[in-house]
Amino acid sequence: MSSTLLEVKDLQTYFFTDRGTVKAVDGVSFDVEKGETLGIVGESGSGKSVTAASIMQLVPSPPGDIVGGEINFKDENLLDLKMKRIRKIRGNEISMIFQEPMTSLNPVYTIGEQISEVLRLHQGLNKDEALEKSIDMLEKVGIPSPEERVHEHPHQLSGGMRQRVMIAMALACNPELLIADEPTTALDVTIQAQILELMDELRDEFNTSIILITHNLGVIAEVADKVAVMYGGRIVEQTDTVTLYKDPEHPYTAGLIKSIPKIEGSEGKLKPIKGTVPDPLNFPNGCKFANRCNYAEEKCWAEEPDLEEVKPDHYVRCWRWKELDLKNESEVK
Amino acid sequence: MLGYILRKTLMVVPILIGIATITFLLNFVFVPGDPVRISMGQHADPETIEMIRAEMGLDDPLIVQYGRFIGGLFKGDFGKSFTTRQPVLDMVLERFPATAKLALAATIISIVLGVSAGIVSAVKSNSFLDYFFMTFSMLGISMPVYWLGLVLIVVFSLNLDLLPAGGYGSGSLRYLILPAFALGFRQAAKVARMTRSSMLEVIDKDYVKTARAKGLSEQIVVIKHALKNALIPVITVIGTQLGYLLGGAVLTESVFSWPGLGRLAVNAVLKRDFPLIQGTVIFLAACFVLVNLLVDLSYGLLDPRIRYD
Ligand SMILES: Nc1ncnc2c1ncn2[C@@H]1O[C@H](COP(=O)(O)OP(=O)(O)OP(=O)(O)O)[C@@H](O)[C@H]1O
Ligand code: SF4
Ligand SMILES: [Mg+2]
Repeated sequence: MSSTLLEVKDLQTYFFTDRGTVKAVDGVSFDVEKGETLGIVGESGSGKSVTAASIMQLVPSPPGDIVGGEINFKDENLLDLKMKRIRKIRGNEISMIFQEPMTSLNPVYTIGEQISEVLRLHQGLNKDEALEKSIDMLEKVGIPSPEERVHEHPHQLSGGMRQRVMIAMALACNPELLIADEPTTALDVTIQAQILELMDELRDEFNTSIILITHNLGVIAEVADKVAVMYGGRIVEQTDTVTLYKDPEHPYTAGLIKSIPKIEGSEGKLKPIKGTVPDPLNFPNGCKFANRCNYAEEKCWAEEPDLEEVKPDHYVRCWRWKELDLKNESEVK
Repeated sequence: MLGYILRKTLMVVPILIGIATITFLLNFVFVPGDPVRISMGQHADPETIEMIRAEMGLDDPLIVQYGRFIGGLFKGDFGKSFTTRQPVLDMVLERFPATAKLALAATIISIVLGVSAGIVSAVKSNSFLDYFFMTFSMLGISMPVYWLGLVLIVVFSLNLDLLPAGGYGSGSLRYLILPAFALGFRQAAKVARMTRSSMLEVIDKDYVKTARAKGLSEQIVVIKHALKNALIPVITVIGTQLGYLLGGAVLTESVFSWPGLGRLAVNAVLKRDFPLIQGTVIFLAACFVLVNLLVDLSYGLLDPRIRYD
């Protein structure tokens, strides 16, 4: 039995730039249950970070603005809340980890000061209590000799260690939702695996729900319960992780799966999807993937398909999902 | 860190000796002839001149004079003024409090106005307020300080009759306000521009985003997380200015008849009072070097990545 923690409904976040309107997120909907991990995948520019920033209300404005939709967290629509309430939620009930561990920590404060800050803010701990809890958290995220590390500055730590610190900071107040925006992209492969494992363990320990954003489907496979695939500001496919890998219905998903580097596979070669994402200032009328899709036909160019529930809890945005057999394509070759 | 302070402080000594040497030599390069005669005027009594020359040891070989001069500096002996016959150091120290007061007041004004305007401009960049402050600071930089001084005098003392037009008023705060503003405004303009550009560089940094994501209020995000990272270039500007100002703000002191070092130096130049010129220049240089040392040390307090070894 599970209950919904976060429900994003028809979210629209646009950027109004000098060159025109960028519909960075356009009609995105998904749910996250308690203790569940949702993966969001997509290539660069597909709107993953903007989706995350929208939930945290951290979209830079101007030029950005959330122009439509709902973000229901527990029993509140975050978009209706006063800034004061949002600040109570940030870092406390919803936390976020960013992609760049090297730059996400403030260089002029110690690790302890930075973790303590969030504890003192939300949990009203005093200085000593906060420091003690910070050391506890550092220990939990696997930082050796935390009593000493807590007094160090970020530049004294490696990238992997810094990301652990970010995780410690994000989880310090035991949030119900953790949004991790490409938490491992900047790290090398072994550290990547360690961080993912750590997040998984911590989720089990704290029962935190996680939104894991990445452009690497391989990462998602390891930790996510379900996946939303984004393209051009929209979700093009969404289902549970197993189904997505076994039975993708959208050509873009199939392409992404094919592009996962297979370490033990016979060829182990990367097959990126050919072509490039269309200019967000100039999205085509039809399916946004048409210029790169092997199966595009006239209708695809003319009209954009809706997100359709093709099986229970399996949504696809493609005119031709029924006719296409992508299973083989993603398995073979 | 302690070793660094010591080393830096010791470095000050050769720098000051160098400056002293240059000022000493400049006297001979630029003003050939008899400095005493020049400073006493055409019609000075030859006997008096001879007396002064002898007293000052001006008949000794150059190298002896130089040795005596440098040796004297170490003992705090800057020589005697040609015109007043007082020890130069006494004259300088007598004027210094007025100059220091004006310099500090102007610096405080420049920090308060400049840093806050700079922060607002950066946080609300390209807004009306940003344009307003930046236009204002452009004005501040391009407006000559004596002109602003005169405007302030005309408005606040002649027309509104609120504040005295000049003088020291034996140290009363009322006399300080106008000169401090005239001087501080220009400095504030520079500080504002530096604060703005430095803040703009950090305001989009990831750690600022992290601070917001923690749920901190916007003030704390901006002041605690952004500003502290943006402060080094700002402190540099403030320190450099303070260093200059401690040597005396010539124009401001003249406009407001402020009895500071600047006017002392100008008078010394007009009267060709070489010991006094040397003394003020060396004193100015010492202030400058010391303030710079402090600025240098503040970097380490602001940014732990800066190591002193
Ligand atoms: N501040 C901004 N101003 C204008 N456009 C923006 C801004 N931030 C994002 N965008 C646009 O929004 C779109 C989505 O960006 P987003 O950062 O969400 O992509 P992403 O999926 O996170 O990509 P990546 O994998 O590179 O992080 C892009 O087209 C981008 O140009
Ligand atoms: S709608 Fe057409 S172009 Fe778009 S993904 Fe499906 S088949 Fe390809
Ligand atoms: Mg991103």
